[in-house]
Amino acid sequence: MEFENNTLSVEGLPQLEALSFQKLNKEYLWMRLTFMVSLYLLLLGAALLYNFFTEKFAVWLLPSGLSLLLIWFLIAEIVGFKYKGFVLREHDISFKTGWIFFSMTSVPFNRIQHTEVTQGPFERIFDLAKVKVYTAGGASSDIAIVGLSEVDAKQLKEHINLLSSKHA
Amino acid sequence: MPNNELDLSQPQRQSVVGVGVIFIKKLRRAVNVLLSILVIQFGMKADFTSFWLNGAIGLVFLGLLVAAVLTYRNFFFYATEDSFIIEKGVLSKERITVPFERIQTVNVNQNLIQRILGVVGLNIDTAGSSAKELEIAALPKAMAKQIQSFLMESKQAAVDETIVEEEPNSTEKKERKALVRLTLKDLVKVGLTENHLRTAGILFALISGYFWQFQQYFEGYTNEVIENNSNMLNSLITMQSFIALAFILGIGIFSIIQAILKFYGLRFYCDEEGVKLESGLLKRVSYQIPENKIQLIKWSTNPLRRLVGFKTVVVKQASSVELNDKLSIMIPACNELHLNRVLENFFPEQATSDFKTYSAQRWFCYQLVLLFALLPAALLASLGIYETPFFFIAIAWFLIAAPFSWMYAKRMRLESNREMLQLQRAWVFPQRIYLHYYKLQSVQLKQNVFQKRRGLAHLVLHTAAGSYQMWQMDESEALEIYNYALYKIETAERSWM
Repeated sequence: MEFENNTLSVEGLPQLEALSFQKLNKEYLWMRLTFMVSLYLLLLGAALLYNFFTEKFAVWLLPSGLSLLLIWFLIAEIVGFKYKGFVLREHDISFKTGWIFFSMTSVPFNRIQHTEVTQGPFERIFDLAKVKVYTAGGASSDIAIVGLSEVDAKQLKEHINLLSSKHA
Repeated sequence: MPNNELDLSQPQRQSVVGVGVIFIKKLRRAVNVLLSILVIQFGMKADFTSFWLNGAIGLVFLGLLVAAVLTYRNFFFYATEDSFIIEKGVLSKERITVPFERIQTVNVNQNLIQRILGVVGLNIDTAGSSAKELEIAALPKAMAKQIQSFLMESKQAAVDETIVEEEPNSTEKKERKALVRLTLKDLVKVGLTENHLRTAGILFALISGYFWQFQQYFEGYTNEVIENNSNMLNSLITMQSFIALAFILGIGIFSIIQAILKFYGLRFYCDEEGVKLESGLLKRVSYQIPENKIQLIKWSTNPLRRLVGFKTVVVKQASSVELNDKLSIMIPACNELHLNRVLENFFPEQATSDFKTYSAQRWFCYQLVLLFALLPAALLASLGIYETPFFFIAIAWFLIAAPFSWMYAKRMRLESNREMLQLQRAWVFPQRIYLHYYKLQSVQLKQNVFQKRRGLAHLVLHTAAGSYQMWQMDESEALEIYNYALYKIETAERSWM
């Protein structure tokens, strides 16, 4: 218990913010934009149908509201893309995201419970996948590395598994 | 029977009186369902002399008895080389296998029926969130204890298979001495210093729930009363104040009864091996958490409790969020001395190096005052345009909420030394958390655009027993803790569980 490492100063510690985060695959941005536009078109269709079958009261309200929302989400996604990224270090993996609400989470390999590669329908079209990293700290402490190509995702998962089993 | 040597290699049944325990359990469940159906169907007009009704009740009784016997006959438990197995199920068979190393804790408890029948129940908690019921309803006490120690030993063996040297039984034989014992007087104090606002909420929900269920009968009655006494507004007002008084009195009595039921004969043990708690009047429970499973220790108090010098101490162990409260040990009345003993026991590092304090930045004070004092007051004041009294309520709200919010924000701080963290918050309801760095699961930094401009950030510490936030820190200080935490986790030599 009397292990004390007195020479270490805080400045000497590895600093995460100094490291460059790896930007995500550009494909990911296109995937998100396609997803949003498709969702918009779907909702717009529903709104137009609704207008068609009910009495004509403020017909423009729903479609224009949807369009405004779409524009806002597209801007947020495009600007926010620059803030997304991950970094793999010797002992941990970190993910950052968020333009207006920025968040950065780091999970040390010796705390990883298990990992998972998942792929949604839109991700499949763009040949993307995400790696989910689970800890024992509950849903809010888990991270998902998005925007990887399927091959990369599987490789990353293998890599993490190797390192985390070495630590365990 | 009690002298029988425990042999778990063969499938075992529970005590024969288990039939009784299972029957009562099923009966209680059936009565709960049937009663509400009966009342709603027949109201008060049910004729209990009716042949059909009695026959039906008798049939249900008989059915439950048969079901209980079958459940008992089909319930087996045994142990293989590396796991404990429960087989159960009458129609659909179920086989639950628990590997020894997955066992978290084994609890022995006793409810009223079990006490009458002279048996105890055994509960096995496993790691992970699977809510499968691993419960043996009726065992002779000696056998339950044997199984409990057998499982804990097997678990130990499974967990540290690689570690050869282990002092055998040297500490186990030593009789533990309880650190905290609560007398009846203490329990009354605990009951009276409960958070009454919460109790009031629960009681209110309970009463209105029942009221809602039987509303139609009440309605008929009150209509009658009001018709009969059409000009008794005065008596209605006195009745209301009487009801309010009865409600307050009820809360007090309810709290005391609850405290006695839950904490009667409380014994809290604490030593190098971990903590253990026994308590309860009708339902006697015994929980233990081994030292390495303890994730953090939290203690809190309220103004009333502080008057009598009590703190509520909670020892938390790893668990999924849903089960969090079930798996932690709570002692409602610790004095300063007891608390210090617990902390010295599990956090000897608190003395080995100095703490550095990180406070929430001044901006946090403004933010909370704005959010909880100014904004609601402004809303109330805008109502004042229609009803003048709202102006005064608005002013009163601001005068009360502003200092609360300000002090709450001002008193929030994170302290850190080489090995551990403490998080402190709140003013009137103070709460503190002690936590080792190496128990952390992951760390998170949150920052919105406004915080970025001001150089502020929230820090979130994720543990296996919940996530804890330190709000509005200086950005560079937050990163300092962030990086240090990662370093401490990654170089940790002890396992977090």
